[in-house]
Amino acid sequence: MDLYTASAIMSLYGKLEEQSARFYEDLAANERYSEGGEVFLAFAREDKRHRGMMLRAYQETITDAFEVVHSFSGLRESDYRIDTELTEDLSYSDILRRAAEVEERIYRFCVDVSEKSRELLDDLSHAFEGVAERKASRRLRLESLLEEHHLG
Amino acid sequence: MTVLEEPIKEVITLRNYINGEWVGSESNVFRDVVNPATMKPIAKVPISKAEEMERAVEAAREAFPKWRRTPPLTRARYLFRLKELLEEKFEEISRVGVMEHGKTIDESRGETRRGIENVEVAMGIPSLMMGYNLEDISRGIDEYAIRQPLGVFACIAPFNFPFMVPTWFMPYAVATGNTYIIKPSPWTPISQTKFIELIDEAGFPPGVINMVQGDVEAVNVLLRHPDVKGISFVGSTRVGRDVVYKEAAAHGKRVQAQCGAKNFVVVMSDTAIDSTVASVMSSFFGNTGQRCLSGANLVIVGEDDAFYQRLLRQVVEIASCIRIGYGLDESVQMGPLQAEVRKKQVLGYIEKGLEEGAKLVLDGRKFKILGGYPENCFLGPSIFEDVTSDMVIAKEEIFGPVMSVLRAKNLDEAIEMINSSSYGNAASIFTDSGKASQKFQYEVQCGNIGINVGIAAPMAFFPFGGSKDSFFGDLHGQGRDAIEFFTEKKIVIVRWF
Repeated sequence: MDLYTASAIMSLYGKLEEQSARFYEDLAANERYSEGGEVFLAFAREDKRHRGMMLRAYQETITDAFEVVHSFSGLRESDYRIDTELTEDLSYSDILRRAAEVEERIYRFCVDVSEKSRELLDDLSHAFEGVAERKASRRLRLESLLEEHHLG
Repeated sequence: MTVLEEPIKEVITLRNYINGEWVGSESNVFRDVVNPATMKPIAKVPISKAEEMERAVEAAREAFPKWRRTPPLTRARYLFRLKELLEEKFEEISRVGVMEHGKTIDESRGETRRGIENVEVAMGIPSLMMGYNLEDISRGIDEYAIRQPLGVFACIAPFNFPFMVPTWFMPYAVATGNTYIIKPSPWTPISQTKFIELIDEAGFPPGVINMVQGDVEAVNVLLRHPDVKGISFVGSTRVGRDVVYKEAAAHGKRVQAQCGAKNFVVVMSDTAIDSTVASVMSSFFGNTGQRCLSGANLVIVGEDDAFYQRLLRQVVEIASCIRIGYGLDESVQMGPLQAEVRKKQVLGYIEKGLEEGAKLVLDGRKFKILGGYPENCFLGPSIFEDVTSDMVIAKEEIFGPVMSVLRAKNLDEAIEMINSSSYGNAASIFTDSGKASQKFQYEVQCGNIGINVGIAAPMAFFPFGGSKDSFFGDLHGQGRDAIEFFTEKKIVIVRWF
């Protein structure tokens, strides 16, 4: 499904963060992945904080002067789906790789929305840029966890 | 397609709010409030009797002395509580706005935010209301000016921004120590009811803010009652000038009547075309064209036919792709008109444009509604080409999604077109030239100017401009003008022996 409005974009963003937070909470609660427990919990908390922060950014940016008829063309919901399903056979390394994919996908979404909204919704664009930077650094953190796990 | 949940599940019977109490109307005349997208009734609004409005005036008058003595900081704290409650109910109010008006959810959230911003600005009343002084105006004599509230003020609200417009006035009025009465539009009275619920929850003392639903009978009380010190009105020029301004002024009241508009958007050939087109879309078709700041006439300047064709082609192409449907559907970019009668009026103007010889390059009468909602209030964007300044569609306010495209040889001619209009609400220019925009800003006779901005909507801390047939009065809503409007300056000259 194509995303045409700011409202649709914010709804999808909210869903992605919610799904991501649940994913990390489940990981943190699973003894098999206790090695990354604290990081996962911190990520889950941050996802919730991001969600609230971005909702506020949107609500504070959008005014009756905002170019609401402006179409966010070229954004497709299916391009940003994240896989957070956990199965028994997933090792800690698999989980870290999966988490990095989740981060990458949400990062991509944030970057794309930031680019599309730069012209007419600059504040929101900056806010998405900020979240994207954070997602990128989280992906690096997950990759270093993976490296540490393999080394140690 | 995600359709957001409707906050109104069953038909609500609306009541008045007088002296801190919710009271059912004594009237036996009720009007249905209909969701223009679904055509389902969502509320019944009473057309209150004159006596009910008189009781509201009495309550406001009685509440005034005590409220006036309440320190400005304490009065501001009520607004802080109200602001918090508005943030909590932000989404509900916005969705109610969609249901009663038809606008899209993005547009409605924008409206809610603008309303909250006015409450936020009014919170600064201890600073905003300060007077000024000068010592030794003569040897041993000091002089100072203090601002004092006047008493009861009232707002007569329009249908197009039912939540936001009363916030251009009410927060400033009560922050400065006046008491207030809101008379919502009977077409869209629900969001104001939600607003008053929050005012009640915020704990404003009884009588400080009142709301009476109704129509002409209730309005006439406000215009003539000796205890009402001032009226703020937003609506058509016919009612604003010929009824509200004349009648209220004849009864010695302060008046600010923000009225109709016919706004020009001027495009110079040096403009960044893609950004201009996106902004133009919102200007003409946002809120389904039912904004007093909406673009109505698009004036393309210059004799460069290639530029003209390119711009027009892009505008038509994007306008024809606007997704029309129920505003709670997140994929929708334009909702219905607020009522069938408004659609009929817009259709009449489209017919008129054709009769006058304008070329209809995009016919909004042919449209597709997402989700299969009834057609009653829906209309697509229409674009007329070959429009000339003397045509009715170029002169009269249509208040719907209709764009008239005109050509001007140069900027002087474009400015002449704007200044020939009887209205003076807003005008915008799209250009890369500082010189052209400076000339435009200087010479155009309008109250709000946009430079590369399609909707020149002033923020809460600036007054909402307007001139000629678009405004009657001298002090506007919002910002410092609002403080002036709601206070009287008293000058004190002091000498001690």
